[in-house]
Amino acid sequence: MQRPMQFSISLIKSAIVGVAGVVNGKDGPPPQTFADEKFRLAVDASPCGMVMTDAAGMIILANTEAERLFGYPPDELIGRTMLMLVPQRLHRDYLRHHTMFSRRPETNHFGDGYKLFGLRRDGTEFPIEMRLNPIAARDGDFVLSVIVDISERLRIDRLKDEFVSTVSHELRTPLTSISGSLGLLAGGAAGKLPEAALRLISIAQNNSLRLVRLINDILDIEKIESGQIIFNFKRVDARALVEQVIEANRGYADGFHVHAWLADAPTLPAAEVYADPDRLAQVLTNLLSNAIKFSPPGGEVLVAVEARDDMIRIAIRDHGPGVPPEFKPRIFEKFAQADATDARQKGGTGLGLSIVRQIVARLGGQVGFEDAVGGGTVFHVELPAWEEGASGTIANSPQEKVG
Amino acid sequence: MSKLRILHVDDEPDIREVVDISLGLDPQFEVRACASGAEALTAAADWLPTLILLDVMMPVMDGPMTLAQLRKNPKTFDVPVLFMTARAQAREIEHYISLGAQGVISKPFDPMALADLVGEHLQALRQSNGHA
Repeated sequence: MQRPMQFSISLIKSAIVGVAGVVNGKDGPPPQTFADEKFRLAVDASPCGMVMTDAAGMIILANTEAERLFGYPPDELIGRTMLMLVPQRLHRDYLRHHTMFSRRPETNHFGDGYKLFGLRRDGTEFPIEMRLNPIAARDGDFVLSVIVDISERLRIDRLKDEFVSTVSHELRTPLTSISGSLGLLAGGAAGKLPEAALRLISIAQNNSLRLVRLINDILDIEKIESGQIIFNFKRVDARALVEQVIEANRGYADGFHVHAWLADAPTLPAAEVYADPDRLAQVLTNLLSNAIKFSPPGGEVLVAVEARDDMIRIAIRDHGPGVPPEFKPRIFEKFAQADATDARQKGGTGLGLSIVRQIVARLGGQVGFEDAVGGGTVFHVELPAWEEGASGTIANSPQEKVG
Repeated sequence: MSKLRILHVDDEPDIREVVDISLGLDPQFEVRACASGAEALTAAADWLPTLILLDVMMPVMDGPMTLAQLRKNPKTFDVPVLFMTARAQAREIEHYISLGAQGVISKPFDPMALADLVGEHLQALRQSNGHA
């Protein structure tokens, strides 16, 4: 997996003017002190490649690391175009970004999903990450490009991805056999079993399924944290999605003898959000299943959807024992459980709410909770309401692997 | 009435056994199992199954590669294929469908409900083909 290139631009105008004055010799020491000893030593000591170009894109400075990265002998880069360091096929992209940067140097970043490569003197390419710093000197505008070779980082990312994918497959495969065999035994496929044996098989079966959930959650959180998951934002009818999630979890609720329902009247105005429906469904499923399993038998879980200014709020109320005060500050942390017996009693992985928080943040919203009047807890998710003209995909990486 | 032929392909012998027993609970099915994509190509062309259940991650020739080869053979190009995989989120299912599969059964599956699930897929396929 290759991490996409990001251009990050920082404004360092005022701080660098003095240095740039030295570099360009205006109102400072004469031009020959361009190689001011301290400045040159500092630039050369940088572990990053540094290339400064003038407004025409011609190189006026390159440090030792830049020469090493691109395979040029000392000073051979000076006076030549920056394009010689960019593969031909990327020239147009580079010039486009350069133009955008010239027009709006205050832009914080651009080019998400853009892959950048450097071109060595021998014609080979290597993946790079580059930070563009505008420099407003007294004799003109310059750009300092700070360049890092990310070949090794990408190689490690690929190894990690392969490892996670392999481990998950190797763990899931035996679990499929285990839960399948237990399911057949429990279902009577091998004949009628004594009551005690059935109870034991049920325990084994529930725990094998819990392991599957744990593996899935660990994989999910790893992918979210590493930015591997693509979020496909679109217009989503929040109420319809909530109804789907409730319906999908009806069997689960029945198992706990809990009734979950959407408390809104269908005549309420539309509550549309701008979100990834799959990921939002995952968030709602996690919150709903928590509310169900912490509710007493015969209890009910109410879900409400309401519009608040430019946000849509989805609230899930249970009638459970509530969140212990000492647990509240860390409820969204990974592997957090109110007490050590929780996971065993409730079959949770301790990752669900952490996943919820991370997904909601990526959806541009917030998740929180409060004690409900009369007992129980209300978890709520607030998401940006859908607005005309908003659309697109936020791609933090290439398509996640499947299989 | 002739039985519905199900060809199950998975490199894991234990999963083949579980699927064999699961589908065997329904007398309308006749099940054969293959341990690799290559084996499946031969068996599919010889036996002409009603449906193929195809594992995704297999060594040498994985599920998508096997499906591509099945589609190239005039004898098997139209045999319906359901992938069996642990990766069955909506966009992953879309991906498998785009490869030419007719559906996905997620792992781990409920072994007591597998035969019904396969039957539902076959029914849906018959309806979409106008043979309802």
